[in-house]
Amino acid sequence: MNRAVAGDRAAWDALVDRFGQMVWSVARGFRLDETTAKDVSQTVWLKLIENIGTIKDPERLPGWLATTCRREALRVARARERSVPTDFEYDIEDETASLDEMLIEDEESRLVVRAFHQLDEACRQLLRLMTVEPALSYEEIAEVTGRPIGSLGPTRARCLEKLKSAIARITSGAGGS
Amino acid sequence: MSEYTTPRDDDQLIARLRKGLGESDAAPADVTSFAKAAFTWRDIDAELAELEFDSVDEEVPSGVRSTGTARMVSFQTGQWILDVEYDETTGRLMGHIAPSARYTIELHTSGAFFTTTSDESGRFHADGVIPGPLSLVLRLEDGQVIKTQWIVL
Repeated sequence: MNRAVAGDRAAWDALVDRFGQMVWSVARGFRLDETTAKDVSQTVWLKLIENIGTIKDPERLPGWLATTCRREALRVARARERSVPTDFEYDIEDETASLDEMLIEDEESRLVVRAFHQLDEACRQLLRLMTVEPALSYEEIAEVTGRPIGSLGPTRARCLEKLKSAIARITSGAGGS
Repeated sequence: MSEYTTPRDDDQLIARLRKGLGESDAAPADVTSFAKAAFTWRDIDAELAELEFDSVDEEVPSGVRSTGTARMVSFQTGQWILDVEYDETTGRLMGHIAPSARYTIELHTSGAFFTTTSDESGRFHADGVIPGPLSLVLRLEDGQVIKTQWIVL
């Protein structure tokens, strides 16, 4: 990171490669459509360029990226009045999800993702944040979700139970498509 | 599919979800390439005008009807105040810069920028502005550069 501050182009590219997926996942966790998630992700990187000199401790970078992403996502969701999705948008979301599933090669992973899309929004956000790479700490996840840190473990367990139930529903043919 | 058994191990389940989401919802390549390219635009000498006000942060008092979709933001650094009003439905962006004077203003969006000028009272406008990232840059005659924080319109 210090090399990126000094203007090293390759070091900056390496930062983007390392954390790009994490920033994207955090943005998507706020249920933004793809266009809005792109705007938010791009803005997070632009803001990092503005602020990279002020982040003294490289270990704080993932947390900084995640909380900046949260702030911009909430702001734009309010500005575009998409924070309260309509039924119509839900339909689109589900359609996209099933198309995206086709990209997954591994059959078991595809099944888990299909079940994931049937979960409530809170569980989807939490599980998304718990699967990002590089991993976020519980402190960082608490900050992004606005949940007390002590609630994360129990909520994770509850969401995984829901995920298993959804998987069971799909495999038994009740919830599949 | 009938042979499939639910993974009992939570970590294994998480690992499968990670693999699946990584493949089905990967960060789009254009976001990554944009982020890399943006590094060349960095202007370490620019003075950063911070966001001081954003209408989306304001609670709309109950009983008061919203007057429209316009977004209002205000940036400040030192004596400089940049006010911007943007209407997503018309694509019109109106602004004011204090201290009032004629300025050339660069409107940076993701991947491109265009310029507009203010009148003596510091007012300016631009049409056809699409929603997305925005930063305003003022280049003053003495070489000073003032740049607003990026926001998402």
